[in-house]
Amino acid sequence: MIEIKNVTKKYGKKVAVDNVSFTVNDGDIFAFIGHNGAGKTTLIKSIVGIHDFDEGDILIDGMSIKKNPVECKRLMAYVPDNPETYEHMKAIDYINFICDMYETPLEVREANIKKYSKIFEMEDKLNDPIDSYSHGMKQKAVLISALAHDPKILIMDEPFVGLDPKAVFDIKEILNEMVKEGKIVFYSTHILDVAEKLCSRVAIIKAGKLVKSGSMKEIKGDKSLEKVFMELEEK
Amino acid sequence: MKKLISLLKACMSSDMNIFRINSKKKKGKSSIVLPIILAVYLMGYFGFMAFGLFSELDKTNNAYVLLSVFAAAITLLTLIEGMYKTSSLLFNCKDDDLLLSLPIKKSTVIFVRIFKFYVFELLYNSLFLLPIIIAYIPFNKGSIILYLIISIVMLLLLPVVPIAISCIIGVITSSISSRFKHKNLVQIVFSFIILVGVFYLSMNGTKFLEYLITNASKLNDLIVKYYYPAGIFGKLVSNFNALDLLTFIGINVLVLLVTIFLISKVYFKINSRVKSSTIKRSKNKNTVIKERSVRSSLIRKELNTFFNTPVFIINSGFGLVLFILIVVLMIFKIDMFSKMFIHTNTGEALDSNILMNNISLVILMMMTFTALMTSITNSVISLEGRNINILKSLPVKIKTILMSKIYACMVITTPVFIIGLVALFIRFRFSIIELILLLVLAIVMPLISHFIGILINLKYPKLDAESSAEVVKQSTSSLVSVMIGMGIMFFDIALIVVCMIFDINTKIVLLAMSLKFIIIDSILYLVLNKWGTKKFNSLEA
Repeated sequence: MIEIKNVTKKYGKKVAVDNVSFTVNDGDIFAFIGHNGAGKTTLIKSIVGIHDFDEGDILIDGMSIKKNPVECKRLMAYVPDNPETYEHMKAIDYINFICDMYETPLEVREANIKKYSKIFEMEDKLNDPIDSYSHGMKQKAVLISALAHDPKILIMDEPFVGLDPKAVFDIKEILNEMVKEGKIVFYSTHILDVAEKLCSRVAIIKAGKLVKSGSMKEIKGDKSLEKVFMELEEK
Repeated sequence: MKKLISLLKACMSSDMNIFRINSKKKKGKSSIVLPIILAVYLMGYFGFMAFGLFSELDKTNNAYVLLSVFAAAITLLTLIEGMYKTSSLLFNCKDDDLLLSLPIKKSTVIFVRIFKFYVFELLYNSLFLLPIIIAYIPFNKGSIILYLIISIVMLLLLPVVPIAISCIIGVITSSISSRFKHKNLVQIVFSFIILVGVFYLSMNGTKFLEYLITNASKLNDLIVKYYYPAGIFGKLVSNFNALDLLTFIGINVLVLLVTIFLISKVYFKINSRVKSSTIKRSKNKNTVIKERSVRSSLIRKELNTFFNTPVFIINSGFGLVLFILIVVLMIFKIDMFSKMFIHTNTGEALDSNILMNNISLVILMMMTFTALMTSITNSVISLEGRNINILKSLPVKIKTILMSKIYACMVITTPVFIIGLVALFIRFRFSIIELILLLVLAIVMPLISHFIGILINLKYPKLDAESSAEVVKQSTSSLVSVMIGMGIMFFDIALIVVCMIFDINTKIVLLAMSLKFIIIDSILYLVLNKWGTKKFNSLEA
């Protein structure tokens, strides 16, 4: 479970995230939506321990990311909005590096790398250096590295950007499979129709403040998620 | 022109952050204090040295000649600096796609690239040339205002020609290496050959000081004849002629324009070849999945970055290459080495036996010089760039991440120093205790450079650089850590010389030096653990 409790993050005088609180339960696919600059990436980076925050706390399975960063991070995998990797490495070396950091047993990583590289059609490309990849291929390499250590919580920032339609379909399948096992998927997106179909819960952030949070049904009612979002934006 | 100014402003903004002090913020002020203190220390040192030399030559009314000599030396330094970084500064930059898609002339893009290089070299040269200019003031025979005008023009224009030459060499190097499969390796080998060549020439130039004192007036004519832009400094100061000044300005402007014109003709062709040559796909499709410990995997990652960044290898590896060269020279050509050693100090030839009696301290001095020149870690944080987010999201203690960077540097430096010392021990047969103490120093002395480098880089990170060369050669971090390294080096070498003069027991000197470095290393380790981890945590890309 992820518990975000009254989190505030400031950049100088600018408040990027303003007293935000919500909970993500085990087995949720949670969509985090908001316009550009609303504070989505800032909050995501705070959850995964990249950014420190000024007030409040974030609990991962009851542990504070501030007090127990290493234990919390061990439960999570993070896929950034831009596929950030060590470009001079071969993809397989990068994936191995990430698995080493999570101390993933050899048999687990072998099985997962085989499984996900097959799904993303990357099996014969893992020996190539990442700087020879297209944006989409880099994103796939980052996704494989995130999934290879079998995380309990998958946190993604705009995961569908730059991916081909088949890869988007495959990810949706993988996410559904993960939540069936009681894992958590938390991601930010601008593709509202995908979020509407895929996610069980949603939170909408505007100018750093949480304006709505709850189950997809509660939030959208009879309307579409896009309509609800646009109404909130116009207020 | 308006377009060019806004382009320069945009491209220079990240480089000049250090000079943008927020008067309301204490933090902004404190970050510039250290570079200023170091700059003042080094400038004071150079100024003091120059004053001494000017005083000697003033006895024969030839002090002005030294201005040309310094100008020539700084030109040579700029040329060496430029030769191994221009290819990285000009080609395959992160902002290529942005700049090349803008409606601006090719020559404007080249000018912006060269201008960034020029500004940094100007700052670097000022560090040496400004104290020399000031030190000469008491010896200036003519108008002081005229002297200052000439000096400012020289200061501003001296880097132009060596930068132009090194840019052309950089273009040729990139053009050749981009045709090879292992272009990084070709670039590294080519650059080291040039550097070793320069080292060899400077070894043969040890009779220079002797020559300078006896033939000073002829020398200035010689410099004017062979390298007019440097030689003209002394000529203008001793005998001002407006035409000479205009000729000097004209030469620089012309060289700059011709260089920009020539490079813009071939730039895009080579740049696309450099970019395409980085796309190399492996024929081996069998993926190897291995399990490693956190520490060894982090060290491997660091070594991978090091060996895939030519400018990083060339810059930080120079001290090690110099160490190897000096070891080879000491083993096979001790007479040549002793002559070089003595010439720069007393000007008298010394029996190599005297050198042999103090061989451990000579080795220590040589190791101090090369080890403190080898600052690998001053770029390791900046080179992470946006990838710092990957490291920060990993379930690994920050202390482990930072120490892995230190260990990786130790993996590079320690074997070179140990093998060199053992080879010297076999050749010179000094005592086993001295060898053990020197081996201890081979570990603890470079370690101080590694700790300082990483701490300085944490203090002055540059996570948004356009190229690796910008991080390695043009960042505040590299400049400050080099200045600190030089400061420690000068201090320690002076200390060793004093010990030699007072004939203090070699073993005691080695033991004291080892203890000193162990204590400083321990303090720096604690600082890295406390302040360094906090600082790393606060970095945002």
